[in-house]
Amino acid sequence: MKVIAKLMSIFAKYQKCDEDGKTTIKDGAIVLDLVRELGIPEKQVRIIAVNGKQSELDTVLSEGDTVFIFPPAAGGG
Amino acid sequence: MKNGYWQKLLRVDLTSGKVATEDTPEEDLKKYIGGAGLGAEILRKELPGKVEPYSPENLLIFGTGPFQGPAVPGGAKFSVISISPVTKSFADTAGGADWGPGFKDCGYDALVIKGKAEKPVYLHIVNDKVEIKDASGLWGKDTYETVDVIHEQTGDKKLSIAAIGPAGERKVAIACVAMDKHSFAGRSGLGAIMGSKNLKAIAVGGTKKVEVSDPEKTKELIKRYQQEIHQAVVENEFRKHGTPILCETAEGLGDMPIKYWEGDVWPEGAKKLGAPNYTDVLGAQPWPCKYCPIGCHRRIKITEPKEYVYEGVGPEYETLGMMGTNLLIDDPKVVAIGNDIANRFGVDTISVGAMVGFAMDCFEKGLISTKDTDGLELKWGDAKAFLTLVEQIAKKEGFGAIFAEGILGAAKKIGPQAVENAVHCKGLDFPAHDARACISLAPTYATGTRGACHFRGPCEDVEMGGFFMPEVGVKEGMVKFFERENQSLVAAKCQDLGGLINSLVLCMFMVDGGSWALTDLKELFNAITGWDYSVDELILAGERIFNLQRLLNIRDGYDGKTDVLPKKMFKPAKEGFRANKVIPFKELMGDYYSIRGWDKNGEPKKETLTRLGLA
Repeated sequence: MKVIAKLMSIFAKYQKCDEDGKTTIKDGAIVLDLVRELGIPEKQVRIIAVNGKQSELDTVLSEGDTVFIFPPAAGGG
Repeated sequence: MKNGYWQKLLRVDLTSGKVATEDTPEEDLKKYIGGAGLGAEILRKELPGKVEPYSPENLLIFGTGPFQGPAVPGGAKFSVISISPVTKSFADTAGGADWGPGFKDCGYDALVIKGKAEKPVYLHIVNDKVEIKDASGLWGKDTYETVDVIHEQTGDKKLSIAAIGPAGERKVAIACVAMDKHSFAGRSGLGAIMGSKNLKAIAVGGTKKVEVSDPEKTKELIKRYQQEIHQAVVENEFRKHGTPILCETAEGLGDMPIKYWEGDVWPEGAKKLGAPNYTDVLGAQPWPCKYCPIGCHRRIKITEPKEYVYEGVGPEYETLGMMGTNLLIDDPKVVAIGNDIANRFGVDTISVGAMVGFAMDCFEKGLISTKDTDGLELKWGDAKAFLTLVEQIAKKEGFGAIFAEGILGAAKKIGPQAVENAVHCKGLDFPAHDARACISLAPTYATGTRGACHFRGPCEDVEMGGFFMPEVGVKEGMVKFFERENQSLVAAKCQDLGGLINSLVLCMFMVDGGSWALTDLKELFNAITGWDYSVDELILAGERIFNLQRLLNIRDGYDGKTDVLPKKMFKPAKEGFRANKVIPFKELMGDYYSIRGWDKNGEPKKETLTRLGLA
């Protein structure tokens, strides 16, 4: 199946997608599978939002989901 | 006494020119630690009632703590404490560069200034030699020129210099104190208090070293923490990119201000302003304060276009938010120039960005027009209008003079709708974090002892940054975005941490950007002081300090009725991560007062004061 991975800031370099801008992963994959597929260091993943809703690494993905994966954003000075 | 303190205050009366020293009881230091805590206690004891901020009676305090003696990572800090012209009550603001250790090494823990000099002066402090020098030749110079001239006049380039610019001299309420051309004690307008005392600068260059309880252990811990923090910030790229690394994440979570808190999403803007684009476009490099393993400040170089050629300190996340997305400006070079104008003239980049956003908002809504602005078209995203207005505000000239007393003063002059549109708490503009995104910020801002501040309680970092304090119950997974549970507890604990950190005095990034746990902090504190505190006792000191500052707010007329948020914070987003979410403010405040042990009027209960040793 295909999902849309939205990677920003220091994660942008891990973007890997097909010509249609989507990333192919196995059916029934969870967010962690996508993180591994993209090569993002797991311990740097801080916030996940699937279709705008806060989610976890074990959230099950569906065809066409939009997945935001954020690094930590500590320190605002 | 080998406890990291000199147990000595330096007092300067600018009216009489008298200089004196005074011993500080160890008991006071054990209770209030130093910096913002000791400063609050001095204000409590020595200012028995409400004081007009610009009056000679107001005190201006520069405070250090136990972390300024040894080469503590993140310890090159100090606090400035006074009655703020913005909030008309207690405020503290922290600065860096080399000034904190440079002052501490003179043989004092704090400098307490009162009175008003007849003519402009600056203080020159090298160990026991304390001189009040003529500054008439410095008056009118910007914060950077002032450093150069003092270095030249004294022939001592090692002096660290805290200075005000023309904004402070002219008592612009958001004037900052600038250190060594790259660090700024920005918030709350304490640069204007310096100006009101005719005090242009304080140059320090101590050569003494305070003794600590366990020198070997102190040295060993410092070496270890330096390495650990450095490794952590190299891995998470915080050292490489500094705070601009936050932009895209903050925008993605609805945390970054857009169009003076009216916009919901602007990913394109955040991407251009933030790292890695910022680092590439501006050629940004880390610019560390003394002893710092992180180096969050940025040294940048712009070579084109011609009008933006610039080399020096670059804008940080807060400034990219307030002068960037807040104004729909997406060019980091434009923000860098606005940042430089603010730094040189000496105004807080957060508040001045907020003011320009407020003015553009009023302009769009028809509350002001070109007739009010001397022809200035205050349109969103207009770089020229932005840069012009920053300079006007800092110089107290033209339309910008309307902001001389802060955002509230300007709003009142424009009218009731403008007052409703102003985004502030206690008169202090919001920083670049939206309380609708991380709702623990709602009680944090509403009760902030210096007004709306994300760094006197960095609670948003628990949700956004993976920052935890398991030793005091702030743990992974305990709060979820937009859900009430535990949010007020996180807010209170983070404020307690803020009270402690700004009294030690330590850079907050060591704990919430680096890898320093509270247990590490306690180990070093005990090695320096020999006081054998537990983590709980340290956080209790932070809670005591926060409540003491609250008592000063209450003395100055604040109470539960002023623990409010601005109207815009109750307007939900239409799109993005926080779409349709509303802050459960009343419930959060109920939780918060209960956790704090405050009554329904927002005053600490008698038993709370007794528990904290403040009765």
